[in-house]
Parts: sequence; C-alpha cells; structure tokens
Amino acid sequence: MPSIFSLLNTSRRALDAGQLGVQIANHNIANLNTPGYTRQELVLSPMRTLMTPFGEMGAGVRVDQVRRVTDEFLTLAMYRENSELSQWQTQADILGRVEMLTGVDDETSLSNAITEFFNAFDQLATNVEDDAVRSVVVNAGRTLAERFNGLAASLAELGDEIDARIEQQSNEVSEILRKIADLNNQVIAKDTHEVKSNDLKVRRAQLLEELSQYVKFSTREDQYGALDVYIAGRQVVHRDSFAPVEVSDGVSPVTGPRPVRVSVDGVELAADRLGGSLGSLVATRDTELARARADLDRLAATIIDRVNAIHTSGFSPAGSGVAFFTGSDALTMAVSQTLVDRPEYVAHSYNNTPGDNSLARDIAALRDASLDELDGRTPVGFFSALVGDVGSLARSAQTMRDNKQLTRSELQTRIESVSGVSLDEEAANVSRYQTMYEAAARMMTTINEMLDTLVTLGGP
Amino acid sequence: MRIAFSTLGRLSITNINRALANVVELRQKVSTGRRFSLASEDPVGAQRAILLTNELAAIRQYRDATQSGLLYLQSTQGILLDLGERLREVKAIALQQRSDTSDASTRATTAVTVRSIRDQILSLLNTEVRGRHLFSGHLTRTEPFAEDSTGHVVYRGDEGLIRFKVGPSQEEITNVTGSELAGTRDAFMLSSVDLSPELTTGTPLASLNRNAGVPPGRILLDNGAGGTATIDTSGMTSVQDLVTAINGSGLGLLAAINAGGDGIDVLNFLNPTSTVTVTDLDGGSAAQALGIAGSGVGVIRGRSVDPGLVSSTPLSDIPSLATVPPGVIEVQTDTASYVVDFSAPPAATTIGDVVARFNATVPELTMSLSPDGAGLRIDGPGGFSIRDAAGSTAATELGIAGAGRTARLFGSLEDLEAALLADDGDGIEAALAEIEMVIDNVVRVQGTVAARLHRLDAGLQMLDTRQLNAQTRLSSVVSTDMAEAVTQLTEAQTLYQSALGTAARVYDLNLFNYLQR
Repeated sequence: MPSIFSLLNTSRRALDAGQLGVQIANHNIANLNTPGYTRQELVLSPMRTLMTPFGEMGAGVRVDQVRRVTDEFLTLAMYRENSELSQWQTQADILGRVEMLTGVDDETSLSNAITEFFNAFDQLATNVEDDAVRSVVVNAGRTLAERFNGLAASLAELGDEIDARIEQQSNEVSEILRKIADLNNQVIAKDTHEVKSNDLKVRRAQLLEELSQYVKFSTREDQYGALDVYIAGRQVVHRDSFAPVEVSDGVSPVTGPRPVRVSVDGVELAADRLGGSLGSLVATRDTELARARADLDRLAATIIDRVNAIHTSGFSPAGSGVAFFTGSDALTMAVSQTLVDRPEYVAHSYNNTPGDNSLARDIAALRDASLDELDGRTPVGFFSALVGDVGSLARSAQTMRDNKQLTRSELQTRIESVSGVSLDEEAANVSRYQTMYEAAARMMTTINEMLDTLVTLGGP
Repeated sequence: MRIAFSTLGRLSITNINRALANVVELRQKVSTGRRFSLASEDPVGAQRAILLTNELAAIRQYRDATQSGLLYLQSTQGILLDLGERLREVKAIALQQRSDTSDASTRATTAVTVRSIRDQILSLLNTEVRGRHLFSGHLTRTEPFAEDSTGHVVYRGDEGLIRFKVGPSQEEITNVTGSELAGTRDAFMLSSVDLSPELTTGTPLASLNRNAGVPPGRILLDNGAGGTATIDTSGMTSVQDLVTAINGSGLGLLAAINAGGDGIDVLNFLNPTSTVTVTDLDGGSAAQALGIAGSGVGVIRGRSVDPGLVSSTPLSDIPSLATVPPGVIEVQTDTASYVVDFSAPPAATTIGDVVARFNATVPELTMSLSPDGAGLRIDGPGGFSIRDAAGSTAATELGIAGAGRTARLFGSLEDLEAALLADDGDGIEAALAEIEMVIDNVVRVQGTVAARLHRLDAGLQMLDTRQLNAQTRLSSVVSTDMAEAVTQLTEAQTLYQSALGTAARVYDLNLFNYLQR
C-alpha cells in the first residue's frame, strides 16, 4: 500500500506534465513564424506500475520525450526541389538580362542598326555624287559598331558579375558548411548525454535548406546524430570538420582574364553536378551566355570581313578603297579613323568613276544576302535567330522555374502539414493541458485535505 | 490533413503575388499597346518582328531608290522630248534645203540656224541634275559632250550604266549613256525581232526576269489542307529543279509550265478545292521572282517570268525562230563580204553557237547578246549590211537583215552644216538620212526610258502594297488585341481584389477566438 505522500508525488508529476504541455504549446506558438521550424510535441506515458498485494497499481504520468515532428523523406525531397528551383531561377534571371540587352525590334536595337547601315549604302548608291550621304554612311557604321561594342561589353560585364556571384555564393556555401560542422559538434556532445537536441537539429535543418538553394547535396546521419554532407559526390562535412568550397581560375570563353571555377580540395566540380544556383551560374555562363557572345562576335566579324572585302576593292572620291571597319569582333569593331575624319573615303565604285554605284550596291546587297558564315542566314536573320534562341531559352527557364515553384509550394504544404504549427491545434493543446493542470491541482487540494484529516485525527 | 498556420500565410501571399503579376503584365500590354517587349514573352513573334521591321526598312529604302530613279529618268525623258523637237526642226530645215530651189545664200543662212540648234542640243545634253550629268555614263562629274580642238563635238563619258536596286530582285537602269543616244562613228545593229526564248524546264533560273535571275531564298508552300513545306532555291539551277522540289514536297502539289509557255503554275493536285499559298520566308523574294508568290483556290497561275537569252539557250526554245538550224546569211562590210553558214556541221543548236559562228567567220564585226536578253547586237567599226543568202531566211528570222546604222547625232548636224555651207545637195541628202536615223534612235531611247518609268511607277505601287502587307503582319505580331487585353485586365483586377480580401480574413479565424475562460 503506497503512502499518502506518494499520492502527492503523482499529483506533482501530473502538474509538471500539464505545465510542460502548456510550455510546449507556448514554444510552438512563439515559433509560429520561424522559418523551417518543426513543431514539437509532448510524448506522455503512464508511470511504471507498483506491485501491491492487491495487484498492479498506477503511479501517474511520466514525460517520455519532447519530439520534433518531422518527415525525413519530405525534407530531402524539399532540398532537391529547392536546388532545382534556384537553378532555373538563376538561369531565367541571367537569360532575362541577356534578352533585355539584345532587345527586340525597337529603334535602339542592333538589328535596326544593321539594317540602317546597309540602307545607308543603298542611299549612297542612289546619290553617289552627294558627299553628305557619305557622312550618313559613316555615322550609320559608327552606330552599328557602337551597338556591337555596347552589347559585347554588357555581355562581358554580365560574365564578370556572374563570376563575382560564383565567388560570393561559394563563400556562403563554405560558411554554411562550417556552421553545420559546428552544430554537428554540439549535437554529438548533447546526444551522448541522451538529451534530444531538437532545436540544434532545427537550426541544422534551416542551414541545409539554405544550402539547398546554392547546390545539390546529399547527406548521411551517423549513429551519433552528426550529419555528413556531400556535394557533387565529394564529402564536404565530416562530423565536426568541413572542406570549404573554393573558387579558382580556369578558362572561360566569356570572362577571359578572370574566369572562375568552383572546386573542393583542388578538384573542380562540374556545373551539372553542382546544381542549384551555383551550378546554374557556371553552366549558364559557359553555355548560353558564351554562345550568345560567340554568335555576336561571329556576326560582327562577318560584317567586318564582308564589308571590308568589298570596300577595299573599289574606289572613293578620295582614292582607292581603305578598310571600312577595324577590329575583328563585336567588342573591337569600329569604323576606321580615316573614314571618321574624312567621309569622302567611303567607296562607291569599282572602276574609279564618280557615277558608278555598283560597289555601294554590292555592300547594300549584303543586307539581304544569305551568308555561309552565318549558316546561310542574312545578318539580320542571324541576329533575329539569336534573339529568338535567347528568348525561347529564357522562356523555357521561366516555365521550369514556375513549375518548380508550384511543386515546391505543394511540397511545402505537405511538410507544413506534418511539421508546421497549427494555431487551432495549439489552442486545443493549451486547453487540454490547462484542464489537466487544474484537475491535478484540484487532486492536490483533495490530498492535502486528506492529510489534514489525518493530522487532526484524535485532536482536541 | 493538418493545415499549418504558415501554410495559410504562404498560400495567401503566393496567390496575391500571382494575381498581381498578372495585373501588372496586362497593364503593360494595354498601356504600351505591345503584346511583348522581351523576346521570352514570344520568342517566335520576336524573331518575326525583327525580320518584318527589317523588311519594312528595306521597303522604305526601295521606295527612296525608286523615287530617285523616277527623278533622274523623268529629267532624262524631258530632255529627250526637247531633243526630239530640236532634231525635227533640223530635219524640217534639211527637207526644205535639199530641194534645188534653195540657193547657196539661203543654205548659208540656215547653216547658222543648224549651228545654233546644235549648240542648244549641246547644252541640253550637258544638263546636270542633283550634281549628276545625266548622259556621261559613270563619269557623272564630266560634261558628256564637248567640242574638241577641231570643233567637233565628241563624247567624253563612258558606257557605264547606273543601276538602282528598286526591289528585292529588281534593279533598274536609271541613265542613258551619251553614246547610246548620240551614237559614235561605229555602226551597230540590234535585232528587229524579239528573240526571247519560251520557258522550258531546262531554262536556267539565272535567265528569268530578263536575265535578272532569281535570288536564293526559302519559300513556304501551303496546300491549304494542313500541309506545309519549305523549299530552298539556293541550290537550284534550272526550272526543272524547282518543279522537282515542289512536286517532291509531299503536299500533293504539281508545278508545271503554263500553256502560254511564259510562267509556272502551281496546282493543288490532291486538294483541288483548297487554297494553295506560296510565300517568301526570311524577307526574301525568290517566290516573287519566280512569279509564283501568292495564293489561289486549287491553283496559282504564275505570272510571266520573261526568260532572257543566255548563250546556252537552245534555238528550238525561241518561238520566233522557225528554221533550226537557221541557215545561211551574207555579210557585207566596207572592206569585204562574208558568208556565214549556221547549218554547216556542226550545226548551231544554241544561240551561243550562232554568236560564236558569226564572230569566228566575220572578224571585223562583233555579235553579242543584248543586255536585256531579248535579241542580238552587232557592232562594227564602220558600215555593214546583212541579208539572207542561199535561199534561207536566217537573217530575217534572227532580225538582223538590213544595214548597220551609224547614227551620229552631232556628226550628222555638223555634216549638214558643212553641206549647207558648201551648197552640197548630195551632202544634205546624206546628212538628212542620218538625221532621220538619229531621230529614230532618240524615239527608241524615249521608248526605253518610258518603259523604265512605267516599271518604276508600277514598282512603287507594288512597294506600297508590300509595305502595307508587312505593316499589317508586323502589327498582328506585336500589337495588343485591346478588347481582349482590357477584358483580361478587368478579370485579373477582380481576381487580385478577391485574393486580397481572402488574405485579410484568413488570420481572423482560429480556435483561440472561441475559447472563453
């Protein structure tokens, strides 16, 4: 037969459990808006029973555990979705910048400058005697060269900016890895003392979610609760140690002198295995952006070569033909200084007569000529294909991004449905545990009264 | 399913953002009037917009060139009309003075009039338009006619023709050279018969449109029954290649040369009730040049494509040539006479063979194909005549029977003046004969110029149509359908408002509000 004082203990445990229940609901509500927070719940079980001569008898409640309610599979799927979302997001951003640069059919577009340049030669062909038209031709050439220069420079700047972002994001990834290793250290320490380090793990999950935006990764939790992290198949966190993600020089067709590569332990990580925004930065820079730049250079070089080949073979009022353009690609293209200073060097004829316009017509005809160097397209046709390509790549990246956003939102809803805090549920919990607390307190009073009765038994 | 508090907020915000993005996009469309401003919004449309804008700019340029060409040719035509008037005055004087009633003194007086008319003509032909001498060939800064040290007017220009590009595949000659107009001492002859060949499957594409040819380009075929195909003229050399490409397009189309032998018809063979359409792609003009651009129910009747003579043109393709091989002609020059037998083995089978045989047999003269591809031209250093021989009609059929003309404009005037001063009746007769030929020549040139003016005028109308066409297509690609966009905008705004309203209320509701203690 248990003593009457043990009754007090049973009540005290119930009071504790009720208080803890309210405290956990309080904690959950307090973290209502904490990103990545997983709700906790109280796991109660009956206290070990006592054997009495009359059989087993209960001894109240005991608190087993404060549990993080989470679904590992959903969380891992979430990290994957995050990586893919930010991969497409990044690609859509970069390509969006490129297509803003190329423009469509507006006045200031490169395609317009190409057409106007060749048209200027046609104007010259109908007015070969008019020197003012030669200035028109030179100015049209300068506008064309400037548009090429501007576009090439902007693409190069975009490449530089991407390099800077690769560097910055690599640093952020390293910092996250460092923090994870740090948390691993604390988790190991706590778990060995049988204390469930829930909030440390919440913190670690938040870091993993942050990491998933930058790169694809996989994880493995060891028996001590430490989390090992692998990026592109290379281990970057092992318990409390980590390998920083570094940037190093490489060879890039876009950025030239300062091309940035991502590596771990001196081993370069391929863009497609990196994934996330970091992989997307490297991949978009080296494929889509590089191709846009190369196409632009090809177009500029073709116009320079074709125009010069014709222009040097003829005559202007000032003498035999000089090169119209200098430079060899989109960035270096310029109208030769001779022509800028003296527009009368603009050639119009093959036979050095003032009235022969056949050279001017031949240059103008390049506008509609299908050129082998441009895969059988006209200059404007080639440029329009470039714009169309960038546009449709940007569009498919945007579509992929929007799709990923939807699936991520779905997944998030499912994760929150497991791990998120529901106000209604917490209200119910508060109500439950408060009622439990009140009832336990009432029991305590009753037992107290019983003690009183016992103490005053046989009194005066 | 449990619904977490954060889910409510997140979904609300997502919905609000999506609705707002939609509103912003539609407002942009309505306020700019454009369906897209970035290529990604409509990659195909963006590409087409660029090409159409380029096409419009090209059309503007063709219009400018056509206007310039019209200006130069109209000035030329005005001068030619004046010139004709002056020459007729001279002819009248010559007719008057050739009769024996005229005596030396009246002839001497009229010689002064002839002289002054010559000077008028000289200044007329030296007119400058926009800094260009019209009759100097390529030497537009040089006065075309001037007196040399002996007092004779000589031509200082060259033979250069100035062409303007007035359409995707059309060029027009915008000048008349002084030598063409005023002649030289050399004699020449143009065939008096149109030797244009008829269209056959072997006709080279380069000879179409009076030897202007067909530019390379891609052509879209549409049989109106859901089938489309693209063919490319860049690898094609003959009409047969084109026919093969169209017939092999798998659309059930059948291309054939029309009954008139001057154009190509495209039959919608398998879908005779559907509209067959042929369009140029990439702003090209191959289909236009082939005369098959357009559409029609069941068939496109191609326009006449005017094949010109090239040296490989078979004689059998020239309808005006009844006898193949042509036979024998006799050529008489100032110094010798020749017999040219086109039928002697190896008999001539192409027009090139005819030219080669003639040039090989008659070294003094040069036969060539006229630049417009419609006949032959013979040039010689002096007078010559050609006639049929050995019972054949070769010279007549080739249009080269007759005398090579020496039509010297200033030379004949100077001869007339000299003959009048010398009171030389025979001299006046000879000069009169030449002046008549000069007038004929001026009339011929007037006809040429009139034809060019007509072509430019017609071209201008065609450019107007093409411009309107391209503008319509561009606007259908880039312009917002306002009615639709405004309706969508209203819907989107309503959606946005309801998203906001829902979001504002979602937080009010939870169990705490109902737990009363």
